[in-house]
Amino acid sequence: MTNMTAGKRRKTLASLVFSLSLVFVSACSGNNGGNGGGSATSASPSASNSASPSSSAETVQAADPFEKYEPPIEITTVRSTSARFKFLEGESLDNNAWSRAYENELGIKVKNVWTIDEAQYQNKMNVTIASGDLPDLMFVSPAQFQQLLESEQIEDLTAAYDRYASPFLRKIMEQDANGLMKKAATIDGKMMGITGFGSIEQGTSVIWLRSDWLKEANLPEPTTFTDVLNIAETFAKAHPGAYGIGLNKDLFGGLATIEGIANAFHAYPKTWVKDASGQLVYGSVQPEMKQALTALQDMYKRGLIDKEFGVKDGNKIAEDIMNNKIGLLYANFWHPLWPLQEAMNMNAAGGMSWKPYPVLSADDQAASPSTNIPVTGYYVVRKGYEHPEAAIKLANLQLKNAWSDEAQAEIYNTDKDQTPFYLYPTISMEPPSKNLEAGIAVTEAYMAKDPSKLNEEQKGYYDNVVAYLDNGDIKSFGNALIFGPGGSETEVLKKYVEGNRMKIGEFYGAPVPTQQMKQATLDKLELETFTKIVVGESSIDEFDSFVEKWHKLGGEQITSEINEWKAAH
Amino acid sequence: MDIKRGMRRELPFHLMVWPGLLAVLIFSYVPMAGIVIAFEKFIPSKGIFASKWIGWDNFRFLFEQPDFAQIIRNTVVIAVAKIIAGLIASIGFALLLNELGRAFVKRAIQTLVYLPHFLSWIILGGILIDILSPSTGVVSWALGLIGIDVPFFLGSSSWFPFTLVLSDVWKEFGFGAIVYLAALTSIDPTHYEAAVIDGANRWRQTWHVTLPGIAPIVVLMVTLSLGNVLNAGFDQVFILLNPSVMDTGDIIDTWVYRMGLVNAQYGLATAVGLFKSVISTVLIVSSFMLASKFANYRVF
Amino acid sequence: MTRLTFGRKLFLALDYAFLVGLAVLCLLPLINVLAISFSSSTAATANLVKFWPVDFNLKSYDYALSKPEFADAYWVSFKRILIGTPVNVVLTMLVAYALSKDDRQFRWRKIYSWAFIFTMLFNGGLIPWYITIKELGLIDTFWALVLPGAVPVFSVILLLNFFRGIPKEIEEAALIDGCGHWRIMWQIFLPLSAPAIATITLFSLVGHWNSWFDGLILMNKTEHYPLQSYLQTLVISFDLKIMNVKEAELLSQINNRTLKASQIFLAALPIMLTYPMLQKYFMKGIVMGSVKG
Repeated sequence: MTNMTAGKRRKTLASLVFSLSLVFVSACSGNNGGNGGGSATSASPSASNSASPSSSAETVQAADPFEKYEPPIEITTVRSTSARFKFLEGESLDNNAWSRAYENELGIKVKNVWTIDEAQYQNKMNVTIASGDLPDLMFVSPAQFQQLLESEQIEDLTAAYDRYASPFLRKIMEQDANGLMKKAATIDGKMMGITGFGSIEQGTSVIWLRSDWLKEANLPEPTTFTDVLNIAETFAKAHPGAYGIGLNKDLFGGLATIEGIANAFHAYPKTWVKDASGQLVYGSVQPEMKQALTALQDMYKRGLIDKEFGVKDGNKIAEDIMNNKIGLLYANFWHPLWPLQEAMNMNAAGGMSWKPYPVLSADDQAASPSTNIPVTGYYVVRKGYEHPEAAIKLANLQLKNAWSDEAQAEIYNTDKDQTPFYLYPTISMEPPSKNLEAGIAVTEAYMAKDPSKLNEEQKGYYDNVVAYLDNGDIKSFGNALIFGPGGSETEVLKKYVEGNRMKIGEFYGAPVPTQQMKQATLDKLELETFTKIVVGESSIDEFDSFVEKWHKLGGEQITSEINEWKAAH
Repeated sequence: MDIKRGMRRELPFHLMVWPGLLAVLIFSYVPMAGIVIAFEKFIPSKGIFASKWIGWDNFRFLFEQPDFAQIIRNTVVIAVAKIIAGLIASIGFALLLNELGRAFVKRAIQTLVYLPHFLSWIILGGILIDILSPSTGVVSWALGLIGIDVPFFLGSSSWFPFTLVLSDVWKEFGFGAIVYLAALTSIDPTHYEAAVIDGANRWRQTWHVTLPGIAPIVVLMVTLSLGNVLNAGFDQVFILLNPSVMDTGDIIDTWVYRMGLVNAQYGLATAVGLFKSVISTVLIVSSFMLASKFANYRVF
Repeated sequence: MTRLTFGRKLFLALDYAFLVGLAVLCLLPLINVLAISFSSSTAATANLVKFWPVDFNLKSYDYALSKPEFADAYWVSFKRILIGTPVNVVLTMLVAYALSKDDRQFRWRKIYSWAFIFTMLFNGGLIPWYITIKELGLIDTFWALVLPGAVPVFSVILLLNFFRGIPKEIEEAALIDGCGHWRIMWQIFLPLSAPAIATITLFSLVGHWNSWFDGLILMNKTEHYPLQSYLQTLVISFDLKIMNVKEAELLSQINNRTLKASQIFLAALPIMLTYPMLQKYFMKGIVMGSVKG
């Protein structure tokens, strides 16, 4: 008898759990298509003056890029924030110069549904998408862009762009950087988003070396890679506790990397470049990489590289730089700001000084620095939002107020207290070459002692240069060594760009299917193999078996998928 | 009639359980339905119930990884070593502390040793790299004084797991001892009195009173930690892992993390989670049955 | 007798020495972190700070404390433990008491036990958890910080074992006297398991105080963040590979290392002090003998 009642009880429990899960299922059935972030469906934008009267699809009559919505409309979005965000007294992300500009000039009320620290942005974005709560406008990664495309949840912006894009926006998307921005966002002839983009030259390697040590050693400035090695060796010998060349444990990544060294041998690791036949191949498995690794192995054996580099990350490298242990390293153009600035704060009194050099070659063919196309993500509009052109207008306004000739930089970019207004806009774009232009302009202005032609941002850098070079103000070292004479922009990046010397990785899409599955394993294999070779644990011939393994474990498949992608783009 | 009276007698128990059970049903069981993600090619924009069903593919992918055996082995070795060393350290510390008489010293020590629990591995990682550096680290200097050749604790495959376990035990033993200290206080003092009367010295008291007194809790903690044999400690390993020690240091969680960097792999991550859950459950259920059959002890 | 005392004395001396040494070993890194939090960013980045601040300054504390969000976040965390911990402890006690009974006394016990244990073993991951909480309308509300973790099953198991250690005669005597189970639990079991209750209270306090991920993911507005979530946002979690000029500029202005160091102390200090306060419950022995079988 007890068994029967126990059985009955079990059944009740089971049905309870089952019905609960049914509740869950039905609650989630509204997943697809998005519920809309509560954007106010006010009257349609004023169609009176600028609407194209004819229905012909060929001539899309351009409308006013800054046409104001009467009555105002609302657009919801989400934001990633960080410790960088600072506001004026009484202001916030919802209430500042930009939010007011959007409302007053465009009639758009931007509603930030949530903000989150950038470290968790991806997670929050994913749960938001998964729970069906798409905001009207959002910035997504290339992978998320791909997914949203597949599930058809984002709006086609082609018509909106054609009608409303301002000339400045068009220039940036279609002309700058070889029109890559528009290309990257165009799928099957339709523009599905606005590309988030950096600058192509920002990722190139730059040699930074201690010019005070160089002078002490009475050596000439380096012009070849052999010079670099000599200098590194001299540095290590002359300064006890120091090693010649800095290297971080991940081998790549910006600070103290092997990229520039590989470039010396015409190897382009971690980039997809064209081979002789025009196909895209992966730089890390090309024969030139073997030469680069041989050189690195030799350098390690000779003591030019820190014996403990295998456990040191960027922070530890910064420590070593500050403690006078590194005299030479391959880094990026902006590293004077950090950690070199900190190093100078500590050691400038002792004579520390730095100078940048372009990557140098190990043979008589000039070295090309490798870099990748910096697509950071896309601004997309959810499908079904009534005013997709609002996104275009937001971009128009941001470019006008921050970058155009009508720009009012002290209100919209930054003021003398360095309040970062430039972080607030909902859609944020900048001319890809703005840093290079700044470097050139500031250097010219300094030489001529005439800052009149500079914009607000550039004037700030100009002040830094003057402060550092003329007045010895160490705190201004960072920007001075980037934008001033002898800085990385004019000394190195300018040469790269004007000499067309960069080897630009050509793949900028979302990871291809096999990459999604195998990339992590291949990366681990690559890093392990390279590290073991450098420290001498494996012989250089390991490289050949690595290449074979790489191809077998999925590399071959990935290569063909990437070339398929290339054919379609 | 009998049933009714039984139910009335048991009613208070049911009533006591249900508030908690309700919370758990809503916040643990309902989300559990999401375990189906493990069997899908999950895309956030498609949602849980519309993503493509791929059956065991995620698991197959996991098992077919070239380094799968390596990651599993590393995970189990590190996790089990941590569990055993941790238990010994916590229990040993609790017993040793229990012997002290001076209340103030006791409390001070107790407080101090539980503080490392509050330091994050982000900070501790940096400190460890420092003190263990063969060239400049304090530990190496100390070992050098005794004339021991210093190994590269964090950079050599053979030493890396050892370093992981030792540093983790140091960080957590104080916090872990709290449970045992509570258990020690709960031992009925009259048992000690009886033992003293019987002429037992402190060692015999420990053997006959203390250890049996905390045995149930120890068995409980061992059983529960069996659920963790596949959790080798992501935060710590992530910070300290480097390419030179991948072959002994890479664990399941760091591997899943790297997969997720390329593309948010929720399907795979959930599959891994499910795999871990199943193993943990098997282990816990087995030890529960062993304890109840052989020691006649119900763990819960 | 003298031999025993000597052996015992030696043992105690070694014991003290060893444990004090251990305690110092545990204290040293904390002193290092504390010193870093008071040091200049240059000294901290160069790793020059050992056990005493270099270029003593209060900048990192100032930076963290000056923002109004800090006070908001502190208040949220305070509310969280004010409400969350009693919820945890009461629910734990109720469930543990019922589950600590015999199978004969409480026939569904086993099923309930496994129902709870199961939740420790299986879970569906971040997305289903988020969706559930969202469907309940709890996103961006205070209750999202308290309800999802309302029943810490580990503590339930712990407490139920302690309850089982209490002699059955006490309960039986009380039942005979006409006490209901509620009174038995509150007036008899509770005082008798003070160390266990103190333990689970501590676990709950530490858990609520230290958790940061749920605050970040479940809250939409920064004003609703609990303390640790807010402190996470102060620290720059940058990817060195894709920083741009402006971000690097900020990195040079706000030093991560000193901030991270002060972050630890600002958040952990209250909790570090809680344990000493609860310690007296660990010291008390059980006063038995009040009720004879």
